Amino acid sequence: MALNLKEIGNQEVQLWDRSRSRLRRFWKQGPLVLVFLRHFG
Amino acid sequence: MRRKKEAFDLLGARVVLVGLGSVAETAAFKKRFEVPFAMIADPEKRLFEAFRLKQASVGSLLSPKMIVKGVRSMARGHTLGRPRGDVRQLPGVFIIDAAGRIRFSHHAATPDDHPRPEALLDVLRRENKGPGA
Repeated sequence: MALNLKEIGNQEVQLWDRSRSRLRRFWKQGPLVLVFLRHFG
Repeated sequence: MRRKKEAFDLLGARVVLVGLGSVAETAAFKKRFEVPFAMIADPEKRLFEAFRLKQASVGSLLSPKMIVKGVRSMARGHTLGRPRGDVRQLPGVFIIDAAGRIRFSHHAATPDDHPRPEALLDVLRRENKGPGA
C-alpha cells in the first residue's frame, strides 16, 4: 500500500529548537531528503 | 551526509534528519555532532510509523558485523552510552519532491543498511534533469 503523503504531510512535527511545523513545509520549496536515524547513544 | 551538504544545497534539496530522542536529546545530538541540517524529534515514532519503517531482529542487532562496527566506533572516540529510543527501530531515507511525491525510498533491512549519499545525489540530479534523463 502506498504511503499517503497528504496525510503524513499534515502531521505537525517538533524540531530540535522546540519550534513546530507541518512536515509538508519542508518539501514546499524543493526536494526534501528525509533521513530517519537509529537511536542516539 | 554532512560532508555532502554543499552538494545537496547546490541541487536545491533540503536535508532533514528524524531522530528517536526527545527534543532536548535531539538538540544535544545536533550540537555534539555539529549536524548542519534541521532535525525533527520523534520520540513517539509517529513519523517512523507513518513511513512504515521496520524493526530489526534481535539476531541482526547482535551480528558480528554490528559488534565490529561498535568496536570501531569506540576506537574513534565515540562512547557507548545508554541508547535513547527504540534500539530495534531501523532507519530509512526518503526523497520527496516539491509536488509531494516520493521519488526515492529506502527502508533499511538491517541496522547498518544505509544508502550512500552519492546515490541520493544521483536521484536528485536525475530529478533536476527531468523525465528521460
